[in-house]
Amino acid sequence: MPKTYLPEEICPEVPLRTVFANVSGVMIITFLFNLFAVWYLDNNTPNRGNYLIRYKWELLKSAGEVDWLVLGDSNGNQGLEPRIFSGRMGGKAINLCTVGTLTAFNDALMLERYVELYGPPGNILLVHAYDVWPREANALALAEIPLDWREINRKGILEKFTAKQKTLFFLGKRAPLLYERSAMAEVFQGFLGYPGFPGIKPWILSEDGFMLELDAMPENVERDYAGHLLKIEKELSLSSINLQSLKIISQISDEHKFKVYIANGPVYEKLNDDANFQGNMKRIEAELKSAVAGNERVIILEKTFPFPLEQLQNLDHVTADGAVAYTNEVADAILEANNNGN
Amino acid sequence: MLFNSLTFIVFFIVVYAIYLFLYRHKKPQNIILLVASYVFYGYWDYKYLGLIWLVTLVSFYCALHIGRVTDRSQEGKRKRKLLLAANVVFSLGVLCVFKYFNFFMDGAADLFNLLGLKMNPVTLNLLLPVGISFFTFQSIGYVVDVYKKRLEPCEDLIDFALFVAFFPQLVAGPIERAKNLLPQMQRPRSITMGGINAGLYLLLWGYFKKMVIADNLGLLSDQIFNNYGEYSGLDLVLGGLAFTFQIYCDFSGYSDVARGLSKLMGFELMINFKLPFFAINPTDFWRRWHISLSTWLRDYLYIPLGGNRKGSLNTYRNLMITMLLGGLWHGAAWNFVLWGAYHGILLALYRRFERRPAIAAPWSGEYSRLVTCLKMAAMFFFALVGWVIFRSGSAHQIMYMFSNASLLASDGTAALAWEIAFYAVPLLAVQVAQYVSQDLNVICNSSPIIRIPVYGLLFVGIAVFGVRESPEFIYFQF
Repeated sequence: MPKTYLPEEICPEVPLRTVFANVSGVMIITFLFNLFAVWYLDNNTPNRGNYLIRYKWELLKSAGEVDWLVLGDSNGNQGLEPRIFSGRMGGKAINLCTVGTLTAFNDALMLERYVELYGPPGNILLVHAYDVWPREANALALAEIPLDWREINRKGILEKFTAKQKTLFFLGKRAPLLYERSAMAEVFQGFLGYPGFPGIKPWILSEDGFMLELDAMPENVERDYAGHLLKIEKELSLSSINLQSLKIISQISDEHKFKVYIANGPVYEKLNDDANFQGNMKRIEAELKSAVAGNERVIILEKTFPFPLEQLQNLDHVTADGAVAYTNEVADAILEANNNGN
Repeated sequence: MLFNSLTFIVFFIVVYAIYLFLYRHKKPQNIILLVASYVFYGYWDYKYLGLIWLVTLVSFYCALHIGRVTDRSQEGKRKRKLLLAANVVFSLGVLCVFKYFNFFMDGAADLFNLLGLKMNPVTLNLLLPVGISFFTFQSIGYVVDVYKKRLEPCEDLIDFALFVAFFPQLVAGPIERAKNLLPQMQRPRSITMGGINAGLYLLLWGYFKKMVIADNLGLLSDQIFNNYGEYSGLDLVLGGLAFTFQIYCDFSGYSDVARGLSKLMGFELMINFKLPFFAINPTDFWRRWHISLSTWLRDYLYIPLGGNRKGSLNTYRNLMITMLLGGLWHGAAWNFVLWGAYHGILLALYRRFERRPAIAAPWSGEYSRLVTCLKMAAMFFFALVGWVIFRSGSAHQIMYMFSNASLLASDGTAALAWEIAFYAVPLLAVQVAQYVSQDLNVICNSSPIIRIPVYGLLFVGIAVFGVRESPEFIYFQF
């Protein structure tokens, strides 16, 4: 125990090599931790979105030949139930929907990979929320796709990234200490037994890729609604990454002669009734048509799918009840489109 | 420009590169540092640069004239006193106008209302200039030192302006003494490997304390203090505990970063904290907490008031005045005044009842180890009570916090306690090592087998747990 009264600061002179050893030691330890983080998060991420992306890409590898390949974002992930859809449309269906931040770019990549593994699918169904279409490329989000730069960039889309986006993409893939900090924080705290550690929620993810969500959350819907009202005040239009991705999908469909149906995701009925929303939907649908013009195999389902509060978890994600209804309504829309000569 | 922002890091790298390029050329180095300091300050609000220039010029010329006037004649003595008074009135006037005017006007209006008289207070719509309490106190201290002939007046305006505006400590201290810092401004400085080594350690440890411990615990304490009506029992105690660690790490983290940056440039700033959680009584606490302020108040207020030289009652009065003003220094609000009064009472009671008020080495054998530990725990508790007063926004909140705090746990208590422990344990581990070794640089001076992994963990800790969009340092507002 100390004999003196107040502590002091002892600052002896040190050689240059001590400072060098300290700095390089810190760099090496940080590098090793980062390597560990890359490895650990690839296999055990506590991030819900990233987990879903990896899960769906794994599912793709074992999907086998299917008649309906469902691609899109998270409202398709918990809205389109392959079992019911297969029952309505016939054949085998699989739901590979991930998250909206990946845009239709991930759809194009998944389709390319599927065709490589199993040949062309019977049909494609793309499900996206209205506000995914205007989204530009998010380099950090795209870095979560479990493919390397060369594979992701086969169509040259990433070449159009700015230097900043390319750097972010690289760091997103290789520097989780910088860009997946909250996931790493959860991992560390989880190791130490934090009682409030949420971990990965035990989702009900079926073998055909459908995520079942049971609880309606009206308060989330109303909260999101206010935000979306502001969003739709602007004129929304198709982003360049979505435009390019759609062209790739259209090109593959044309080459392999299968149909692609593009459906809107479910949406809160009050938002659906809004004139600004309808105006934006019309504009986006027109742009989608224009993007795939010349390929009759790509069919835009010009229909929205409104839902009441009781069947929603937030503005555009349905509960299990809602998923049954949504799946049936999408099937009806496809059948109707087919009957109308598409 | 916050120390924990990318802007500041880029700013410092550029300034440091130029500074090193001009190594051993004192004058150009000082000019660069002065320009950098004004850029640093002007980044918040360039309009207040005028204020700092004014305080600098008035203090510089007052001290210069005080130094030139002989005090052998009555006329000379009077003139020196007048110059000193003019400077103190000017500096405190600036402080009062920008910081306390509205507070005093509102207080006067309340008093008039109490007396049944009506008064419509005049208020000024002024933003509080960042760090005003720090640079005004530093300037006043300098002029008083010149007046007391502890120091020759500085003849070089650039050196003096740099002393007032030196960017590492400009906005949140330490409140430097001219006797310590000014001579360093006036002579060529030498940058040593020992200084760089200790400076880098202080930067790492300071950033860790601020970004990891203070900012994360700040999220918890804000949640509880801002919604105190929703909490009770042990949760309120934990809220106070979280704030106790937060304010220490926030302020001492800033001081460490300021001292670390200074060491890299060859300057030595005073140590501002010496393990206050290990204090064994109120006097000991104030020798360890915000040392640059407590010694300033001691030397320029408590001792001139008479200190403890004129009997017990006068000593208690002087303690109360000093601590009340010390509380008010922190901000124009009643909770700070109350906090100052609380510490004044603690100090007075300690002087009254402690039979051996001189602080002996706590582990010298004078007391048993158990008694020393109990004293530490008691002082920690008293300090925590003070921090609850300090953080509370109203008298109602203070009453609520104290009347509803207990040892009763809620469903959320375990998670809250775990999270506080998660951030506080690394702090306490380092502090125990510092306390036992009596060396604040114990990690820096330990063997590479311990030092390098600890540095690595601190750096990774900042990367993973550091709050990046963090709020300002708490002491900026003072």
